[in-house]
Amino acid sequence: MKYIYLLFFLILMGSVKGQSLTGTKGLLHVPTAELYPDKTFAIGASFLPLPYMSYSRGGEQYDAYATYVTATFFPWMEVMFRYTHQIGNEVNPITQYFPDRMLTVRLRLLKERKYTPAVLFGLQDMSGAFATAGPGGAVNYSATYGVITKNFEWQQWQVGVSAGYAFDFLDMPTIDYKGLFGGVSISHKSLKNVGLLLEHDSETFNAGVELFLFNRLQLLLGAANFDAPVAGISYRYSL
Amino acid sequence: MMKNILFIFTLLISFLVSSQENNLIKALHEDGFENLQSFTAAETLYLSYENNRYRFQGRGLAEVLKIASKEVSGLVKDLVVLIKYKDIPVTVVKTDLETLKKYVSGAVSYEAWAIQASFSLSTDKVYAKFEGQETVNSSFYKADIPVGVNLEYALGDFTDGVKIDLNLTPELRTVLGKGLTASFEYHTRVANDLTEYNYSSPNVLKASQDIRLSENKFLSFNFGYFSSQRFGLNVRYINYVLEERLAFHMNYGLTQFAYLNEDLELKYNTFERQIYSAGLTYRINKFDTDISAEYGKYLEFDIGYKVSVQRQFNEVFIGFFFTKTNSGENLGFNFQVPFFGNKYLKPNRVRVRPGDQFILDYNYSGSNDVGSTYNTGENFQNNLKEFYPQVLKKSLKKILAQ
Repeated sequence: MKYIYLLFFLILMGSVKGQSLTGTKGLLHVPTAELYPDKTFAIGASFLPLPYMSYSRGGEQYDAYATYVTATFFPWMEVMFRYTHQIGNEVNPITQYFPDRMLTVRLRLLKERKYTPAVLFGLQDMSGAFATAGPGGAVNYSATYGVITKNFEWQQWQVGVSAGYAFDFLDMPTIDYKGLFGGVSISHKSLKNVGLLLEHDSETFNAGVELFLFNRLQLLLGAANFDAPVAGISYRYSL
Repeated sequence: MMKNILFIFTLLISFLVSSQENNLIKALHEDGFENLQSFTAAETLYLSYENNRYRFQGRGLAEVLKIASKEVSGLVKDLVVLIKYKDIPVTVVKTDLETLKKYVSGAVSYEAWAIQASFSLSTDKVYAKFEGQETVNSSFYKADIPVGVNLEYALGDFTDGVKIDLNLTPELRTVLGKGLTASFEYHTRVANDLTEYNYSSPNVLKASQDIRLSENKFLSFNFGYFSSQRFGLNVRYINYVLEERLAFHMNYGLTQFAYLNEDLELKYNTFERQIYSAGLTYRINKFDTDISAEYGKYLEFDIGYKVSVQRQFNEVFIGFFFTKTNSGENLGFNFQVPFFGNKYLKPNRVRVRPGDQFILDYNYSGSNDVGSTYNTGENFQNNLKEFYPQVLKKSLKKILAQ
């Protein structure tokens, strides 16, 4: 019986708000302005369904999964490196397919305070900024955005509200988000390790639920546009 | 009568202090620390040691301070610890013994202890005091066999997405004298579709002499066979100006190409290649982060510069680099992580242990040949980062307190 109590206690440890499907800290698909504490590392994977993720918005035929490593390199900077793999598409001379690499850097300009939100500037899939992808190169997920996040408490509920705007920047077209995006995360104090997510990623409304286990493991389940399943798993560790 | 009492009292104190020193040295020896020296002068106990037992130098220092706080009594007021590496003094730590004891037992906070303790790379004066002191448990003529893993990779083509060269890297390393090291590292190929040299072969066979000059300057000579089939001489120099915060460094190498093929035939050419570079590194102690810039000539005769940002998380290093030479650009990141085990077996005549670090450079864009160089094996100057005063000081916050 004590093991059940211990397990229950471990499950209840930790706080909600983790990796989005993208690999950076966020809701389901959209980013937030929050970062993990300094020196936190996360590895994870997510499932991106064909119709709604930007890789497939260009007419691709495959679902995809992403694998990523994310680090809070400084207390004000998050860095994420990700490979995105099309499921079932083979790397060979006929398909001319190659898994997509992307590097993302997010800079938190202002920390959240009592009356002011956190403010963050993000450069997602920065290849375009370095002109490394070449003309028409693989900047499938690029986006430059500003986003703000503010958390509110109401009775036993905690609500995080985020809103942002994505725009073209230097040689980086904004692909993954176009214009305004935003969303909310809702959790109850009695069940801090579970969060409900609702968002608009500038093209579709998405909803999901996230669950934290052992203060390390995050599971994310949801529906893009309420009709395509999405999922993610990540493990975080603080050095 | 009074004189006699004073004489006996002094004799008694000397005996007790000497007994403490012996107990301390004995306890440290039993725990596997090497190159131990100690003496007492004016209520200060001076201790020097070398840690080849604990993987992280911060953990080694924590163990030494724990043992010292237990073995040394109130007859001593201050403790001065000189940390050595290959018997070369690197860092000196000074602390009030009573406050240390309180911190180790949990009676005072880390902040209360840290405010009176001092850590410094400037060891000249303290090191001079140890001259003539007996050394216990010398680190010389002991064979260490670290076994690591080396991975090189490159993005391939549409027939082979990622090309790798994966090797087990057993090494025979022994310190023959102060700063003098002999080393032989062999690459046992596990998988390779990256290079044409698809067989196991020696990777490094070298002798190195590391020297500490006065006022925080270090010089390292490496002579022998290095990676990338180069043999010759390589010299490194580093000068710390503001403790670890600012360092000026130079590197010079003169090598030729040679290797033993699969049939053990010697292949070589006589073209000499010189590489050289000089640069500055500024460390932001708050984040244990190095910002470096260097300019030089590299292995493919290309001339240009490298800039990098690297953060140290005790033993883990993660960094980003950008290289631009007249043969192209290279942008990427790198990381170094230790292998398993916080603590090795005690150093002995022969000891097998996990390798030092797993190191991987990831080239996000550009060519691997831009700004390339060879690897001379274990690098004394790179390893100094674990001995940096602020790294050691901060690590004790996590490791030392009960």
